[in-house]
Amino acid sequence: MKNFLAIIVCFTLLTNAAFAQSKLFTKNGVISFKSKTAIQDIEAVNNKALSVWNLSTGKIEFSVLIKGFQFEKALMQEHFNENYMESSKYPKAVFTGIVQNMQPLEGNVNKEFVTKVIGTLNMHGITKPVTALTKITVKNGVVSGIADFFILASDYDIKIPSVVANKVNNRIDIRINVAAYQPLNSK
Amino acid sequence: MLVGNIAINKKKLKRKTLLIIAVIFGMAAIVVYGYYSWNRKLALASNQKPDLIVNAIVLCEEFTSNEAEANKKYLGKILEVNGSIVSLNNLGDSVLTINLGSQEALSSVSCELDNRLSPILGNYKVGDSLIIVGTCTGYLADVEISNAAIITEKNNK
Repeated sequence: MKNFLAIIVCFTLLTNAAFAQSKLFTKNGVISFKSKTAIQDIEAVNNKALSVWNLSTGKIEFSVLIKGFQFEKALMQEHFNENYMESSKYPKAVFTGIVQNMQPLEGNVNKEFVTKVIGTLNMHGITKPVTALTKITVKNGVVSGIADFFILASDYDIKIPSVVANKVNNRIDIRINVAAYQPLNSK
Repeated sequence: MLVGNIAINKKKLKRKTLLIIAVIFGMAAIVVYGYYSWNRKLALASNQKPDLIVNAIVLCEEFTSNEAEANKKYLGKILEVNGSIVSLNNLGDSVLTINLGSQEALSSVSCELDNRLSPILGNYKVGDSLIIVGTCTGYLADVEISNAAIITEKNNK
């Protein structure tokens, strides 16, 4: 048991030491969005967002496949892909930014802080600036984060027909949630 | 004369009534159809018919060598992918993924299983041969398949 504990301690120290120069990544970022109106809410979730975070430069990136967004109703998912996002033409959305006011994440200290990520979102063939309010947590050596921002569909040339204007809000709230980043070992 | 008129009026009334009933049924049918269309969920992954059959390693190579060409061929299509399991992932029981391909390659085919089918990841292990059907959503670090179902019943051991 003592040896086992010793191994665990060494392993934790090693992984923490790795944070200083390395990148973090995940293939299981959760990106969800919501359109709220008096008549209906539209929500969708994507569980396979890719993210790479370079801790030394502060640059963070999220990529997500539009066809991977899951809706409760098939018709909504089809309309989203075919009519709104044209996902066969623009299969991905990419958010790139710099994490502001970074705090060191290594060391065996649990911490949580709120900051901003300033960057751009490329979606539907258009790139626009975005600032996301972000909460970063380090607990037991695991880095996680939640980022919130909103976009206007019209900014990305996404047309909402006037017929459904009271059911689909031009303002879309987006949340990015990474439950656990892994250290990236460059090959 | 009068009797003849009454007979004709009765016929007209009958025809009118039938027409009204037909229209009401027609409208009811449209409403029911609309309701089911609106509330329809995505087709159960196991019921899908594949557009293309492909091997996991070959699929990865096509995407890593020319993503645009591979997207033209596979994006949005229902694929039947055969390959060897390189990893299994179970994230909080709601997101179940099986990766098929080669251990040596950087990329694999990442299949997110339709959890309405209650797949049991514990039945499978790394190295097993598997055939999965699902929709290709594109390529990030792996080739991504969503709404996937396992269509082989047994493992190869």
